[in-house]
Amino acid sequence: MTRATPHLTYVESLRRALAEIMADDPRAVVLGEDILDPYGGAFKVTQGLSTRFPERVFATPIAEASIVGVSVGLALRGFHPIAEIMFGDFIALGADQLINHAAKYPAMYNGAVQVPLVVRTPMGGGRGYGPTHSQSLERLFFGIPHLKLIAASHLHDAGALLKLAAADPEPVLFVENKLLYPLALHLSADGAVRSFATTLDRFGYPVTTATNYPAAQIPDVTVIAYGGMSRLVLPLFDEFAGEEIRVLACFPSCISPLDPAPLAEAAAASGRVIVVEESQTAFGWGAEVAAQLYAALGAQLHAPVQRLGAAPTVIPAAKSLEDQVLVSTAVIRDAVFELLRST
Amino acid sequence: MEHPLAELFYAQMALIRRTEQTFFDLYAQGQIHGTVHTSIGQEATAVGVVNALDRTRDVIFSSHRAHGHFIAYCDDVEGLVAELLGRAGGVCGGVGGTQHLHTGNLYTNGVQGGIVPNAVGAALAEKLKQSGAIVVVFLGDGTMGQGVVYESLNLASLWALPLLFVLEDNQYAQSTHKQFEHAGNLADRPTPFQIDRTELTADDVLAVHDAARHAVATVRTTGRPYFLMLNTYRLAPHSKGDDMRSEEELAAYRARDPLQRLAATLPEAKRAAIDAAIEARLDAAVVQALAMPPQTLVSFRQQGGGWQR
Amino acid sequence: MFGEWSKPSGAWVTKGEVVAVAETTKSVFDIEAPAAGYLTLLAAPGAEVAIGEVIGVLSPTVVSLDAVHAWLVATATPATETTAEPARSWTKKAELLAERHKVDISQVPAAGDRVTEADVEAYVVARTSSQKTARGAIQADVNDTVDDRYPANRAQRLLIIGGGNGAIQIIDALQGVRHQRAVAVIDDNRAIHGKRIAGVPVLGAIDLSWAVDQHAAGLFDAAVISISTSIPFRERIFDEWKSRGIPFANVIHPSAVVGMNVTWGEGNVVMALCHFGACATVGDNNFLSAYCSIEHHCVLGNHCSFGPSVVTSSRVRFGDRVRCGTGIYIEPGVTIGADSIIASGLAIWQNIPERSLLKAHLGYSIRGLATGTVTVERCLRKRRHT
Repeated sequence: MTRATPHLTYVESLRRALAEIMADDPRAVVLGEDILDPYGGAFKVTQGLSTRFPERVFATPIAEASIVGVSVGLALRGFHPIAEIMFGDFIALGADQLINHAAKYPAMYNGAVQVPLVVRTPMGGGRGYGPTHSQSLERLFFGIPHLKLIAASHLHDAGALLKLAAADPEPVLFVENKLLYPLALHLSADGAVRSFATTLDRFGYPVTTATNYPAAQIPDVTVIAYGGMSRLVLPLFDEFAGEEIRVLACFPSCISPLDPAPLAEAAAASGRVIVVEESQTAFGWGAEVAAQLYAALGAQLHAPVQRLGAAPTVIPAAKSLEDQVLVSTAVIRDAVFELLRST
Repeated sequence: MEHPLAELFYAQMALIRRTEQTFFDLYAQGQIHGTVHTSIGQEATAVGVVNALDRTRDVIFSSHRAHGHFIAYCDDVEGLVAELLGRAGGVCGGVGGTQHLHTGNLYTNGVQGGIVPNAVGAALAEKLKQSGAIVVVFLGDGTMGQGVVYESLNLASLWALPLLFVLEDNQYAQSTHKQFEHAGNLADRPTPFQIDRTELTADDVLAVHDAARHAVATVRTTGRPYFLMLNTYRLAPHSKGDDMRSEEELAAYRARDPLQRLAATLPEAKRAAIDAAIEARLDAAVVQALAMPPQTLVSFRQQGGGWQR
Repeated sequence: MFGEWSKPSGAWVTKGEVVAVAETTKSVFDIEAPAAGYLTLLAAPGAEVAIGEVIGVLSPTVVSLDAVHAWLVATATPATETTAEPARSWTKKAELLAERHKVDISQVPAAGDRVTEADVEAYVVARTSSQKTARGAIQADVNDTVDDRYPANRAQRLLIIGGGNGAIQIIDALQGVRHQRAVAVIDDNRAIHGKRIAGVPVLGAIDLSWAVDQHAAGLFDAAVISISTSIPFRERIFDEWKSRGIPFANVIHPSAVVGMNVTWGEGNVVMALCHFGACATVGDNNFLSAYCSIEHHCVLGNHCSFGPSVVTSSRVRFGDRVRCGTGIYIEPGVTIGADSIIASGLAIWQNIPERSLLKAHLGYSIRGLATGTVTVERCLRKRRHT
């Protein structure tokens, strides 16, 4: 593979994908709060869209239940809505629409309808927005049948992922991450990333595996994470390479439902697994991953699966507090050291 | 003097009434698994409104109490009976049951008010498609407690959508009278959103039909929402046998039963013939549904409920 | 500790001249002048000084003590405010490995400029082989010049898993084999720990982490499972140990006859007088008792366990984990499905589905033989009595 041209940023990749989806699909409709130009959305993912497609981009009142609910109605009647919830925290207001409407109709009408809906929303903290603008509330939707949760890390082609989600016949909650927006996508073996591979899970969504060592070697530790956690994991690649610590990072994009096979393969490579999620760990994604790995690998795991995430409290606004409540590169580093020290 | 639509409307209302009574019987016999919400006493709203629609293109959203809307819309009593009996031949394969029905352009769901923004989205879709179709959403007085209904009134007016809100006010949210749930007058709700409305008592299906035709025509020609408030009464319990209302109150409303009121305008022989045909049809529908195999997990998985573990 | 100056302050010293004596906890050594110059003394005799601390200054001209202090302040590296760990002369991985093995990293010699993972591993190996008794380490033949100098050419050293009758059979089979030898047995039965089986020491329990260390230390080359009675045990041990990189050896009794083009997996145990016809294929981790004959072009799966005299005709295929009793004959081309169990004494002429249990129906009865002659009278008498 030739050396890639400088990659797009995460936000630019999403922005271009949205425009391409709208251009290619006359049934695509975008709606959300404050998305019209010149403002173009709180995080600028929709910038330019209303100028180019004024008849299919709708600014809504502050009414998250209706943003999702109207999208469901559009989807039932033949459109392909892509809704934006300005902050992921507000998706709690749309939960009834996602759980009891979008995810219910196809199955409870015995397959007679589809709800091809994408709800995009930025999750995550680190910007000092405080308790109601910093959460990772996708956790509320893990395991909801017939609702897909797709999370883009910056090790994924975020725009391509959005296009996959838009083409999915099932409703999708598309999880973006605020701190990833300005980052350049990292999509190849480049710099500290010595090998980079993408496979598809059984739902057809990409799973990225990246290592800080040449492909032939065996990793010391497997880090399984999703979405914004790529920002914390990638800096360890360079640091660890100089210390002979071989890391395999595995980032699925379809985080619920979860295909355990690619994760188990990544986990079996080292037998030592750390699962990182931005939200609190209790009853979380890491617990599901751990359960799946125990079932798939059993004694092949050399140590108990480690789960890392936020402290079990609100995400504080003060930087001194937020930095410590949220999981960090330092916390992941220490967990790797501890795992290698003991097993 | 017999109205030209009286025979048709009587046949539909009587079919709804007898079907729902049959559901109570089947429930008592242990054949129906779960619950049944009936609209006995409210048949004039369903028949009056649905017959004002263009069934080939208009879209209906309704709630947990939708048997009447369903039958008035598609007449598929056989599919409905099989659905409530959990049979593979049910209109939703036995998955949805009484509260979750879909056929053609009709959609119902069991969460109060949740479907209203879906109706807004559908109205936006029909507007974007320039299909000329309108969307009707049926609400109950109880539903008017949900915030998302008011978001929907706002959006429908703001975006000028072809959406007809039909409020079937039967005075009770399950067991609680509306005076304990709502401040002010429900009929005034659309006014601040600049949505026009009509209010009438739904004892006379022909009057309901006239009002509905006017409402539908208004929505279709203006492309704007409209609000039709129908004061009605549920003569049967909310579901199964949970009724706390006084016998005096019930008796007063039974005397105003819209079905009996319409029946009185028909010749006895004509009515008897219609009734006999309904009985025969329902008997056959029940026998046919009971003879069907119960829905299987295999076909559920192959159709809507497929999952990958 | 700083000892004493051998030169007075202000003296001219030449490069290499001894200027002072210092002590560490272990030794006393001379401090030589690193360059020529006028000496200014800073450290007091007998004072504790840290490594790197300035004890004196050499200058090209005679200077005042104040000027020396001013120069020291001016040239000092500013203290960094970071809490970064002190500079290490080893990699973090080496440090973590050392902690895991309870080794003092500062004692580990580095092959290159920093102590690496490989240095620590080599150190651990050396330490393990020098520990004679501690946890039953495998004894390295440190005096065998051939083993020591040409390890790739030596006999393959086997670790036998399980110390029961199967172990004795394997050790017996190895008596006639030049290219393999047993170096240790491990078994969970504590009663035999520290004892020997036909001269081979029983070192301890079946412990994979221990075995990984021993293997990494080069103290055995491959493992073999001697237990034939439990197929799940064989499979589990084989899979777990393989997943940790432990190779398995095929142990084949020298009396076995192996035809041309036979394909072997690993971890198979083949007892005396077995026969493998040409082009047979043998999977992994099978245990074949004596007199088994696997005819040409047969295919044997993995983790199977056969009693004596399982005889196949050609092209028979066995799935995984098939258990055969004693004295079984199998017709040509038959497929035996995985996880099947076949009782002793059967002749199989049809394909057997997976997870089948084949029992013999044409049994026999055992009667005690009467002593003396059998007469009609005795039989009749017996009948009358009963």
